[in-house]
Amino acid sequence: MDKTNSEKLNALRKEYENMQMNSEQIESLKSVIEDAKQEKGRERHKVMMRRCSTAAAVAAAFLVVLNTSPVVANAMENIPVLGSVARILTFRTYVQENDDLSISVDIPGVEMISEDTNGLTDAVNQEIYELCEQYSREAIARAEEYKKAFLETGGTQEEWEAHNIAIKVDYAILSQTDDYLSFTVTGSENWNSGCNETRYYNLDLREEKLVTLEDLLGEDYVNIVNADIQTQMKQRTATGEVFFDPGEGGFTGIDDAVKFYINQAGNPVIVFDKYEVAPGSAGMVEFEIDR
Amino acid sequence: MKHKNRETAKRIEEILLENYDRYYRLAYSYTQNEADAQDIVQNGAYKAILNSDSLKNAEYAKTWIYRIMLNETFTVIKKQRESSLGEITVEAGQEDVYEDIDLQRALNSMSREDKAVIELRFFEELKLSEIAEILGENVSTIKSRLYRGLKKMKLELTDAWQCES
Repeated sequence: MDKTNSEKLNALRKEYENMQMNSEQIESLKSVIEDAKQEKGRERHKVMMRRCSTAAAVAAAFLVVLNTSPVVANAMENIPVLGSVARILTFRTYVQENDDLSISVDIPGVEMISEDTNGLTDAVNQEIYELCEQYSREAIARAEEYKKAFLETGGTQEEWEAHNIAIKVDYAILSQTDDYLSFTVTGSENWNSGCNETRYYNLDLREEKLVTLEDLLGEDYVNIVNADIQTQMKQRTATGEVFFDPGEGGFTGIDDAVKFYINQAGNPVIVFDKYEVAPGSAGMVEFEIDR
Repeated sequence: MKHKNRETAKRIEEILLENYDRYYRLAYSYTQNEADAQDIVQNGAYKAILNSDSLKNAEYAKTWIYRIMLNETFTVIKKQRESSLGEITVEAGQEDVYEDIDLQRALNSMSREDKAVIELRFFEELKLSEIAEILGENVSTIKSRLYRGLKKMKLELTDAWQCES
């Protein structure tokens, strides 16, 4: 190439490179990037929430079948990881070795639960145990799906085993009155932080059944709760709390997946996950509904 | 796999913060307007982060982001052209800025793809294979765009120009 051409092109290149963003534009770009990251975090969270709640619905249906059909219950005993519920004595680790799944599952045993819930009937302990089991079944199903995808996309069995997939399920008693017991079942899956989930359960101790918001607040419970939350949000916004607008994915009303516990006063307390109705910095957000 | 997605997202953010001036001047070379160029870079960055999961292999992050930016640029200039239809376009003034008017004119008269190849190859020093990824074309197409562009600029080709730096 002759020199003139090279010089011409270099001159053109210099002109081209002269264009640079000023500091104001750079700051503005950086805040756009932060916004995008936050938005992405929320979307990812929403996807996981959907997945988890679908799984919960399936499991709930499954539990009903299990409780009403001796045939299904018996069949369950033959699946190694589910085992026989009644035979579990202490906090134990299942290691699933069948079909090379290579995952470990920790869940509390019935005996451990009964020591914790001193004075409660076996049926209650059994119920808590059953709900922990239910969580672990879903987590195992997710891990199996993950393994399948892992192998299909070129992962090897050795690499899979090196992952040390572990599922841990635990529970916590939140409150106990003469009438109600509120507790949570929390699961963690070391490969899937998006599905780490806390489920809330409330038992009516007299009737030994799960309590719904309808039981506590009557037929019109959806409107009562929605109106109460909206009023409280307004009051709390005035004192400086921040909630998402409905348009940006904030509170629009409760649905069947709403979480709550019953406090010592006997009032239901609605609980929202981080990011569900307010920025992540607010953590989990609670609203007590007076009865 | 979740972990891998997070790594990819992080990598994309790093590349954006290292190279925003490159996207900006590429956009500006088409829009000739600072505000539009800024919008292109911001929209491109937003889309890149939001859709980072769709990038399966982080090795391609660099060319993937260029591709997003270039698509944004093409969308904007298409809109510019549409909105200026029927208006009297005034192209005065801007030539004075450039030291070599002929070469700049030649560059601006090329198809948008030919222009991108010339700029990415000679100003940003990308490889032909990278440019091929950005434009979604094969390397021989990129080469013929390169020759055609240089011919238009009346610049002779030598072997040194074709090499993969």
